[in-house]
Amino acid sequence: MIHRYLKIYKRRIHILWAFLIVLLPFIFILFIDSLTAEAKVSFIGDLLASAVRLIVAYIISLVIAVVLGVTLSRGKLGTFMLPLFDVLQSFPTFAMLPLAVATFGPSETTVIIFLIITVIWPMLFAIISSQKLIKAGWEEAATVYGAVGWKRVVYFALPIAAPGIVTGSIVGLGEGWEAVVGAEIIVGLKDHGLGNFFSSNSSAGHAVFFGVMALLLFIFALNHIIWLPLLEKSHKMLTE
Amino acid sequence: MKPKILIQVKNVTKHFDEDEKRVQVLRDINLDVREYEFLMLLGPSGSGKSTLLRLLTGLEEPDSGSVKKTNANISFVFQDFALFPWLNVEQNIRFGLDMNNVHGGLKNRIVADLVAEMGLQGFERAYPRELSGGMKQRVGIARALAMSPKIIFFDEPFSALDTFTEVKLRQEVLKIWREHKVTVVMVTHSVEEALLMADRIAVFTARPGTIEKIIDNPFPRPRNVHSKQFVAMVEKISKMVE
Repeated sequence: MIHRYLKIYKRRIHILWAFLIVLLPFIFILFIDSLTAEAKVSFIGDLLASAVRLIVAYIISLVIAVVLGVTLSRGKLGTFMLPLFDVLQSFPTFAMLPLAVATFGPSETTVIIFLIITVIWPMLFAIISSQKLIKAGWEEAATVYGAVGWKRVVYFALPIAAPGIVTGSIVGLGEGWEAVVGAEIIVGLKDHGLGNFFSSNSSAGHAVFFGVMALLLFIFALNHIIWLPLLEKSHKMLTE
Repeated sequence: MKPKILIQVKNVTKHFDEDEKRVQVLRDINLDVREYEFLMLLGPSGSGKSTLLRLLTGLEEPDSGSVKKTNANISFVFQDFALFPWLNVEQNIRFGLDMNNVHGGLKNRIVADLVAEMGLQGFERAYPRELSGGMKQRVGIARALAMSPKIIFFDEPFSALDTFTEVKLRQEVLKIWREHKVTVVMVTHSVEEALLMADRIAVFTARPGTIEKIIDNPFPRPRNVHSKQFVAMVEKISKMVE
């Protein structure tokens, strides 16, 4: 597996770049930590706490989006539900925050629920559009050769959804990082988290600046290590 | 002895809705599919022959009339191959076996045999996008044979291929038909192909699709497409289709 993965990097210079991309955020993050040590805030801890919330919300969104996307992309229920989703997704999610806080209090649950309704839309719509790529012949072949029930989902619907899952995840997580910081600040979460880091360091300009840079680099690194290879792979999957 | 009838089509009509217009594709179709025969559905495009093929498989339902089928394994070979692009050659061939819970050892043996029979050795791990049209259709045929079908339906299987490959694959399909003792129903728009391959030819006319005539192929096998009688017959049927 590792060997196959390394093949993406065709030249030594690519590997060097990759290492740089991986290492740079960590150097940066350590640097931030030393800067903010006086403020008694650990940037790494805040980053991880926010990342965990985002990952939990992402996994829940992924499951819901796949189930809805695969079942609603065809059939009568879909033609009824999709316009409804289209209206719902254009509703500004931050406007829901006060309601969420009123219901669940200023807690981690509130942040995660808020993240789910942010992340899920791009994923759902990307999966639905990938299901539109199904060719009539593939469907007929799957039917003739007896693909029904869960096997049709695993062997047929999921591979076709894969490109949508990947592009939807990239867009969804991009919005998710923005949302997690915003939500933590607005909710006023006192636990560890990037929202707490930025609001408690708001008077220290350099800490905020380096924090933003470190976060950007971290996201950039994640995209290069995880999402871009997956994107390349998943788009080949449906090429005949 | 009278041959067993596997599928019986009676007074079938079928229409599609196209841009809010009702288009009749098939009218008053009556046809039998006999065991072990090579039946050809021949006609111009738009004569509903592909639709009839899908009615025979159960992929489509008729508006009126009946399609009576005996319970038998069927397979389908597609014009545009319809291989699953996310699966490699071997996984494509075994798709039907995976769906029908055939156990591992038997599955591997069937796949290995078919890879050898269709000349796909060395390409087991290749993906459809890496194969030529001819190779793709070989995988499509292997995938169909893996089901040990009683009937194989071919929907213009050679029309996306170059002439050289087409000529070669026709002979291979004839060999498969002989050796695997299957019934074949094939759709084509080539009169020559129909006369070369089939026992019986159902000749379609278009708009709406009807069966003009069912012809028993008079030529003994193997057939010579260049013989005078053969060429004359091709011409005669061509006029009928127009």
